[in-house]
Order: sequence, then C-alpha cells, then structure tokens
Amino acid sequence: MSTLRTEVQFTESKPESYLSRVTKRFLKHKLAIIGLISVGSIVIFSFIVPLFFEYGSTFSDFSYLYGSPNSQYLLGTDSMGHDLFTRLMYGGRISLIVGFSAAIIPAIFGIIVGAVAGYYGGLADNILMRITDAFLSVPAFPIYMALAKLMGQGVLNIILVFSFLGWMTNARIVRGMYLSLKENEYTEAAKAIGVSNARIIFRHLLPNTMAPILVSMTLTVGGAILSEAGLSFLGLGVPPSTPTWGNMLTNSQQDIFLAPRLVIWPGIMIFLTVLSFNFIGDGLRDALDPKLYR
Amino acid sequence: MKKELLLEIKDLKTYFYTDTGIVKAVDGINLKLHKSEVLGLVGESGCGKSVASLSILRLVDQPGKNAGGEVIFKGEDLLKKSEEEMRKIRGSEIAMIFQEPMTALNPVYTIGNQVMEAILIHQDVNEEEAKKKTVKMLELVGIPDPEKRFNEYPHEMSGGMRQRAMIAMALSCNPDLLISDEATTALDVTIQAQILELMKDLQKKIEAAILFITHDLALVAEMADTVAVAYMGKIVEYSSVKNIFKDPRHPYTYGLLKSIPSLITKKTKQPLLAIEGMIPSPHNMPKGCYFHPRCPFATDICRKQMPELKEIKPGHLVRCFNPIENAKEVSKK
Repeated sequence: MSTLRTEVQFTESKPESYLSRVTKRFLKHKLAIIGLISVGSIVIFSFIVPLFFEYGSTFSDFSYLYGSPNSQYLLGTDSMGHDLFTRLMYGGRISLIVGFSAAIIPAIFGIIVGAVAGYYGGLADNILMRITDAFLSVPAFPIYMALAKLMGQGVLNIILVFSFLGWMTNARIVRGMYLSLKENEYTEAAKAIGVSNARIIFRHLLPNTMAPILVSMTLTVGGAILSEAGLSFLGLGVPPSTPTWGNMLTNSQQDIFLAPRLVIWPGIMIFLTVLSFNFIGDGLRDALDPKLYR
Repeated sequence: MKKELLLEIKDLKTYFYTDTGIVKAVDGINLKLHKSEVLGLVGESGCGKSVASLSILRLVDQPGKNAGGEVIFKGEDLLKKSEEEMRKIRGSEIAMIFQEPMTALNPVYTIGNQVMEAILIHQDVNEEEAKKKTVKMLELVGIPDPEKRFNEYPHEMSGGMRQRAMIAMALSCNPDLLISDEATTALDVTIQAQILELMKDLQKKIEAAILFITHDLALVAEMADTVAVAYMGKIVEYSSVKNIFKDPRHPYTYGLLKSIPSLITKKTKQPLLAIEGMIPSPHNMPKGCYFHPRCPFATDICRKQMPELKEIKPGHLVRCFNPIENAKEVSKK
C-alpha cells in the first residue's frame, strides 16, 4: 500500500492548476500567439521606441514638406513637415490607451450592473435591465458624435463617451451568468457559513464569470480603436495637435493621391492592431472554455 | 438529568407562492432538539425536509416565504432577527452540510481557502492563524496530507474528500447545531459509512447537536437519538429511535420500515411491502389526512379531517386516527 502511494505521488507530482492549463491551451493557438506578439511589438513601438527618438510628436520640419522617406525621416514627412514614423509611434500611444480604457472601464461598470441585477433578481433586475435595454436601443455613432461635440474634443472625453455607451453588452453577459450561478449549491453553502451578499457577488461568483468577460474585453479593444479612428476621421475625436492613427488618416485625406503612404501607414497600423486583438480574443475564448468551439 | 433545550421549532410554516398556487412545503412543523442530541428527520423526496432545514437558517429563496411559526434557538426567535444578525449565526452557531459535495464547493477557489473563509468571517484571527486552524480542521476530518490538500482545487478531490472538506468547513467554528441535509446521499456506501463514523465522532468531540435529514431509515437508526417522520410538510410521527423502529404507530412509518428489504423477509419468503401510490401533488392535496389515499387503514374520518399530533404514550407522538397497535401482529396478516 505504502509503495503504491509513493508511486502514485511520484507520477502525479504537482497537480496542474487551472491557470497553467489555460496557458497551455492558449499557447497551442497559433493565430493568438501571432496576435500576442504583434500587440506586444506595437506596445513596444508606441511606448518604448519613442524614448530613443530625438523628435517629439509636435516636431515639424518646414523645409521638408511631403518629404519622401530618407535616412532622417524613415517614412517621410506629411503636409506639416511632421515625421510620419514619430507620429505613428505617438499615435499608437493614444490609440492603445483609448482602446484599453474603453475596454476596461465599461467592463467594470457592466460587471457591477449585471452582477447586481442577476444576483438580486426581481425588481432590481427589472430596473437595471430596462435601463440597459434603453442604452442598447440608442444608435451609438450619432450619440458619440453629439457627445464628442458637446464635451469637446480630447482623449479623456473620447474614453468617457465610449465608456458611457459601451457597458451594456458586459452587463448582459454577466447578468445571464449570475442568474445561473446564484442557483449553484456553493452559493447556498457560502450563505450558510454566513458570507455577506456583496462578498458572494464579488469574491465567490465573479471569478466564475471572468472567461467570457475577458474575451469580450479583448474584442472591445479592437472595436474601440476602430471607433476612435472613425470619430477622429470625422474630425470629432482627438484634435489634430495630438496624433492618433485616426486623425492622421483625416489630416491626410486630401493628400491621398499626392502621398499615399500618409494614409497607408496609419491604416496598416489600425488594421494590424485590431486584427491582433481579435486573434487574441479568439485564442482566449478557446483556451478558457475548451468545451465550446471544439 | 434533563438536557438543555437548544432548538425549538414551533408550528413552522414555509409556503411557496407559485403561479399555479400556494405550495405548503413546510406546514406547521414542531420539533425539539436538545444540546448534543441527534434528531433524525425522515421522509420521502419532496416532503419538505430540506425546506425545513433551510427555513431554520432563513435561506429559503423566492418564491418561498415563511408563513408563520417560530424557530427558537438558544431562547431567541431566529425568524425575528435581522439579516445581519442571521449572518453572524450562520456558520458560527448553526452550520450546514449539503447533499452534493460535487457542487457545494466553488470550483475557482482552493479547498483551504474555502474552509478558511468561515474562520475568517466568524473568528477574530489573522490569516496565518486561520490557515493553521484550517489545516488542523482538515486533519481532524481525516484528510491525509492536509498541508498539501489545502492548496488543491475541488476538482482534484474525490467526492468523499470533498464531503470531508465540507464537514471541516461546517465544524470550523464549533457550531452548537449542525444541519446535515442528506450529507451522505451522494456518496457510495463505504464512503458513506466513513463519513457517518466521522460525523458521530466529531459530534461527541465538539458536543454539537445534529439535525440529521435523510430519506434512509438505516442511517437514522445508526445516528439519531430521536426521529421525526415527515409527510407532505407535516410531522406524522415523533419518538425515540427505539420506539420508531420497534413500535411504529403511524401507517406511513410502518410502510417505510416494511419497504426495506431485509435478510429475515427473504428467509420467511415474505413479499417486500411497498407503500401504494405516489405522494400527492402539492397543488392538489387530498382532503383530510394527507396520507389517506395511500393508507390501508383509512376510515371515513380520515377522508374528512386532518388528525392532530397526539401523544399516545409518553414521548411518542403520532398524527393518526387509527394508529397501529401492534406492528408485529399487522405484519403477520
């Protein structure tokens, strides 16, 4: 008996944790890895590489407008003599910050609304979900435009506007999960040892809802970057003095035939980033919930 | 020596207000439980055993609601307490073990974390002391290698081990009353025997009273001091475990006992008796005694009137107009 025991322990060694299994499955997803590497490079490109460059985002060389690429200006300059390469890096900062904030802030808000609605049910559920429905039935883009106009242009305002109109999907996902989670026996068991409702909601049940929330958040990052580009393209996003990939597109509208690279490069950056985040989202979804999609 | 009264349930009613009508899941139950005593609550599925236990802790969910009665625990009515006060009682003074060890533990936290939580909530200790206590509790309930098991997730343990962890969780704050709601039903018999042995052992050690809810009469014989037999939300017979098994008076109790196959019935070639019919639909309860449609001894009065719970001999209460006088004689017929 005792020899058997030691043998078993030997082969079993340390049991595999949930996290390590998820990581393993994620690493098997090739597209997700490509996405992760690409997002990593873009983050480094936007946040670290500029530290080693002499020009800031507002630098312009008026003697070299529409300059073609050379050793000094790697991708050439635009109509104002800004170095395109530098502008791309600084633009990436704003786009990524907007993307991440617009994914995280509304997710937090949506989780709170959905958790409370789903857990308590009844009247609270009804009120909160009708508010959610109301928000969902508002056409988002015109409202973005109106709010952006109303609050003025700026990175912070863009994030606020996205947060204001972006929490409903998360709220619905979380509510649905809480409706079923609260019927679980372990919820009852937690109540039976005297755990408070707030603690059950946020400590016991929340981790059980993290998988779909994480997936939805990664997909939101890409969406927010696109929306920011759209708003900036319409001239309602971030003012032109602060470069973002979106307003770089706007500012080069007239120059599309004169110097196509001014449009192509920001376009490629947006495309790459959004695609990479979507790949990561796919990978996460498969890794966190292997029962689905397989 | 008269034992100290710990829990007294007086005329407890829990009704479910559903769309199709009121379901009287618990309909006027009276129970008394003394300190460090084991009370068995027996009955078929759907007779209100679990709802009764949840009602004591006030954990019945919508649309279920308390519809009257008192639950007096240590001299105070639990039904009049605030939610805040109840939370302090749950887990520390009254603890509960659930039926399904597979689902009663949260899959995202380690066993240790979950056992420790009860200690952290109810006792004034820091995390390190709580952890030490938890490991001690895990050891006490017979989990081998508790330090290692502390960091394991529920899915890494077997059903028996999980139920041991549940017991550790329930007993971690030395409760005065332990409610065991079919705690061993989901386990296979050998594990069941181990868990029962453990519960009996620990009960003696910490001097807790147990409300032992089960559908299995054999377990009651093993564990309980007194037994209450429930049928459709009412207690139909209430007595010491010896009386119930040797001298059952209510036809339902008698039927339950007779429907257990035993070696003796096989020897004497007696057919195994079953209680005829099914439990009535809670939406369409029979008039009079709820048991009369299935009762071989039913008379006219049974069809008209619900009998009272009467003491027919000291310490033996029966809810029946025609209690069985001599169980042995009836079985010969």
